[in-house]
Amino acid sequence: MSLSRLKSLLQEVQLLPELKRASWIGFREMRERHRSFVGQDGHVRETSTSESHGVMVEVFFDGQLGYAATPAITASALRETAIRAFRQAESASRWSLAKFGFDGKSPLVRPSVQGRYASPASTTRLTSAELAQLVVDITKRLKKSPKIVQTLCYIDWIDGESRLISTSGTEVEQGLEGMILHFEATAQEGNITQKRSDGENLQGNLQYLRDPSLWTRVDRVADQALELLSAEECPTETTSLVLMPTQMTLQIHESIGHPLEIDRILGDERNYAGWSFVREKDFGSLQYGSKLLNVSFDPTVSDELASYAFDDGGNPAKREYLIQEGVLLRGLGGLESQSRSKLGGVANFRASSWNRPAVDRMANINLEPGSSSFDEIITSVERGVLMDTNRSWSIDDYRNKFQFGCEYAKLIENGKLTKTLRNPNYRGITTPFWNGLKMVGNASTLQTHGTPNCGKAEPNQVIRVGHRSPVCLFTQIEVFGGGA
Amino acid sequence: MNRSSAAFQEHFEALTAKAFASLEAGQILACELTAEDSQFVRLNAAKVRQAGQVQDATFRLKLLIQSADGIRSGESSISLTGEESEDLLRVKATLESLQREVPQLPLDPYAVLPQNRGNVEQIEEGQLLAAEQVFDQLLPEIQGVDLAGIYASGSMVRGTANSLGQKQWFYTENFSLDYSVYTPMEKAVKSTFAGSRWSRSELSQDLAQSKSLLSAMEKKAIRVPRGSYRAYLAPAAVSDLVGMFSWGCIGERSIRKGESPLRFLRSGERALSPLFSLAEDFSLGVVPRFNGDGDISPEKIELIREGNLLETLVHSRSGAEYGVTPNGATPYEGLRSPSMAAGTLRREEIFQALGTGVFLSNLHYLNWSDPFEGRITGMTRYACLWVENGQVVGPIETMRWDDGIYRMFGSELEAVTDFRALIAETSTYHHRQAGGMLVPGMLLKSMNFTL
Repeated sequence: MSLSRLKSLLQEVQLLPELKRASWIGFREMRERHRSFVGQDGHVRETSTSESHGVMVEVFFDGQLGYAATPAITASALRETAIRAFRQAESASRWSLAKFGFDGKSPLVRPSVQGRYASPASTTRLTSAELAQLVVDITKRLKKSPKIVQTLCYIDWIDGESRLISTSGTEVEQGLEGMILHFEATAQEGNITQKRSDGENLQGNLQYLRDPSLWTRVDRVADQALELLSAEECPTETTSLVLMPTQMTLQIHESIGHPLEIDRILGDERNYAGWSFVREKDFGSLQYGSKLLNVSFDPTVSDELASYAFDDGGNPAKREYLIQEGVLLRGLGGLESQSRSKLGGVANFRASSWNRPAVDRMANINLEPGSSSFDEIITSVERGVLMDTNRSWSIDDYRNKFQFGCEYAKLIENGKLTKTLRNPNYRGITTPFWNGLKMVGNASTLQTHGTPNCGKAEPNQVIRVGHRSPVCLFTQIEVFGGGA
Repeated sequence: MNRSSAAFQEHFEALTAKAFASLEAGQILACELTAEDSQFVRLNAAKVRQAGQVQDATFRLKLLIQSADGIRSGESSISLTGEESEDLLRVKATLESLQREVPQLPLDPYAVLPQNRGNVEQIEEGQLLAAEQVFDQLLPEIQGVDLAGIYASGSMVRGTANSLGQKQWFYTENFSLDYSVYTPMEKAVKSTFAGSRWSRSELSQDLAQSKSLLSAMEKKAIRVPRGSYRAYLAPAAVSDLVGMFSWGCIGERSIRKGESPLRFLRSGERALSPLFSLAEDFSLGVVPRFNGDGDISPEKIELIREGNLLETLVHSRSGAEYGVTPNGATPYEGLRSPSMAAGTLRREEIFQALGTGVFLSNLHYLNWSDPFEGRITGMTRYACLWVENGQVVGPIETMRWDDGIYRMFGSELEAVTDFRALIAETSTYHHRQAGGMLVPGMLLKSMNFTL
């Protein structure tokens, strides 16, 4: 729907007698289309498209927000929906957890802004038939041996747009285009089963789908799945651990991203995903990691999955350091959490769709590169394990005690990568782990990843996040293998 | 959008009739409706954090085209507005797009054509609070305790129809208050108060029980060293473990592809306890007996009886691929209405039977630590206690555990309680989920705690 049509609908809603008692009204229209293709074992398993489209109406009354969401974007439906939202705000206002203040005609937590954003334009276009054929071809190529018992590939092409308007003059339009690619091979011999995978989670340029290097990666996945069948089990010991960016993504996400969400620190999330070991007093003083640890919130990186110009509350997005030289500086809190906690925050007030209210989320959480090359990192290790690509993840409700597993590992002996290891796992506690960060890879080791499936909030939401990281070395980590 | 089942049904039938009338020779269409009219009130510190209502309806069309060389299929989902003229236009445009694109797609050798297996209809109307009543009914009851959680309420619709004449309909109105209460030292007790008929007095009883349990959590938390301990898992904790059978474990495809640890049960190389029996039991009435394609499950599927694997969950596609009879499973072959058999351990015997060990009310963040071997890791959460000689000593500090299904449901399973609890499904990813799980408590001879 055009911005001007949406504005005229908002003006109609404003004229309703009941809504004249509202302090502020906002519309957030979101439309998201997916084209999804799943190939399995050389055949197409699923081709689907989906489109979700609707409007979230937000109404403030006496400092309390009420919301109502509808997929019907007509004058009558929006009038009815706005009245529902107002009644929720009014009824809830007697029991508010927090009252949000106003600056003139706008809530402080909903700034009046105007602007636009669009994902970087992609020069690559593929038809549905081409994408369906691509997932089939990848699964055929992965089947390099009879020992590969299953091959799988999926592509999810995302095209979304959102519009924010409000009675205080906000006018924001944002567009997103991105692609999730995942492929995997499962190998089996006797009672041993192993899986290897690869993929991309990027916004904008889809050129990699046409790049010959894609097929090199497909071949590597199949080769390494087979290699794991005869690999040794990861040893059980306390040793040095090198994490590739594919696993650093998960490590950053679970043990830096989530514990820094201010709504978790404030207890909103403790009935579901959990609380946080981080407390308000820790900002500015907690030595979260070693002096090599520098972490930014950066929704301005062009190709990461969670880049945007404004969050869903209208807060302009900009890069901020969360951790610098290991010291915790800033949390992941949007304007509502900033108002409640009196802490600094970021523009991360995000909703998964038109039918969910925004809450504090990660966007792009990146670990800044250091000065070591990959070879320098490996050479420095007398004995250790290198782990690649997440397979298993679990962490407690305060984000302290974690256990993560990977698909593929290499033993490091006397500064060299030697044997391949299967079923690698490691465990630790968040701040001791990050304080054991000994070397950080330079820009040549940086990779951009992310996930489309970060789950959180009540009602539940999954959202896309991006993570960019170099290769990192940690010391004194418990590693171990698999088994029943 | 209308709230009643009849109104949703009339709208769905109008859309499907129009779509079926637009089909060409060789085309079969299956349609699915997922809709809700929900209220969500998020609570923290026994106050309202966020409050709102969501109306949503998604219409999925799956077009299959049969030709001399095989079957091609594709599907599309769209949001419905509830206004018939607009929705008819959307359905028409989506079907036309599928009719253009599907002939261009590769053949699908395991596509299964829908059939007309008869109609299923299940309608449960509840007595729910009006959206504005909730605050003055609920909030006064929860004062005086630090409470966080989510109240969700409203109607849920699942419908399917295909161009061969089959129609399925499921409509339910229910609510849930999924909450936890906290001591000043941040120890907690979790509960879910759910039903289809609101009762303030029953809520009051549920809260009173939670507050009573909370008093046991006020003692100083005990740090239990790593190691193996006897353990009692209450039904809510068991429900998390049983849930892992949905994750690449009990599905036929996962066993055939060598990914499921149950391949060792099928081959006879490993055994589960004769005390462990698991079924998919739709007589619980909490979810539709049909899947999104309209395939109907038997009312009860005995999956594991006394430790023996009798059946797996088989989607129609797996049935075609492996030549086995499908049983109405979803494409992901996960549990929808699981029921674990009760045993003989009486409620009043639990602490004595446990002796010295850990009492686990809930688990948290489970994941396979070795998916192919069936080892699971996770955390303790909420009301977990250290027990010595049958007496509660106090709450424990959060612990990580890492153990295998062939131990927990096998060699280490000492007893199963003679009572079971229906653990209501409260998930709301994408939309409110229907469902629940009927599970007992489990007493384990040992459980491995690792951090």
